[in-house]
Amino acid sequence: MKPQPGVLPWDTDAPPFDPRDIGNRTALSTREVAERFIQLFYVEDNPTDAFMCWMHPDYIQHNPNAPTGRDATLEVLAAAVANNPELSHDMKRVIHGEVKDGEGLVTVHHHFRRKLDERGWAVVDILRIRDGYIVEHWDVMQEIPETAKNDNGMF
Amino acid sequence: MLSDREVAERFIEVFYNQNRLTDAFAEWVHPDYIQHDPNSATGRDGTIEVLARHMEANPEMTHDVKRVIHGENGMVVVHYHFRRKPEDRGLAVVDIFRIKDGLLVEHWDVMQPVPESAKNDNGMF
Repeated sequence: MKPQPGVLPWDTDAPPFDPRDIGNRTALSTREVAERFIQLFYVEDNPTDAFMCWMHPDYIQHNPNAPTGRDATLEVLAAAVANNPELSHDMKRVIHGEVKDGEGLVTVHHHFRRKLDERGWAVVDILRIRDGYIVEHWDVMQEIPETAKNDNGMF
Repeated sequence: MLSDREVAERFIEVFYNQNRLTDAFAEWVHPDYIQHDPNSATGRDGTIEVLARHMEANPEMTHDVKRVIHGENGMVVVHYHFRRKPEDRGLAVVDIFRIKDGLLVEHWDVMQPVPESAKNDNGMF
């Protein structure tokens, strides 16, 4: 499935892909794994498919508010989506690091809101990807303030 | 002309490792750089004034760089542990820079206090 133009602002030239096709995961580049996860998690707001397809069962979680491992985290995320039907991740930029020894780091900068009318949070997620899976995750979240000392916005 | 990576490495050394914030800005930041940190003014010189006061108020500050991601088109990500004093729990911070023609031209960041306790044993870094 090719997302609508503009849905992948970080890579509009991406060839068509099915983000749920895990058949040949080890043949995918770290960039391709990231694109598939990003489509499911941030664009479609479908943490269950995103995690079951692309998160390693034993992935290392550094978010202090989430348990480690895929299934425990997924439980928390699925509840959040169920409780917040308006929840959205507005993608701002994706930064792909170099691939070294078969693994790479990918940074996702996005605007997270639980409700459409809230200011929400600026979030950076860092994902470590190898062998077709996300194997480690760090994040930093900051609430968007009402006023700022510049007019550039947080993104 | 230095590569984007070389510019990033030099800025990181002076700013994060040597804690010479104002020197790093004077040397590597574009005068009209675009600031997205909501607590800072935009432009280089206004920020240098803020950083000078910040250095004076926090002589023990440290930036413990955990990982750097060099992306395409001059984008660089620095994930680090900021502490005003050695005994602080401090903040987890991500800075994102855009480098162009040898200078830092744009900056975004997010920061979050490191909590006293966490739901996992992996630490924030």
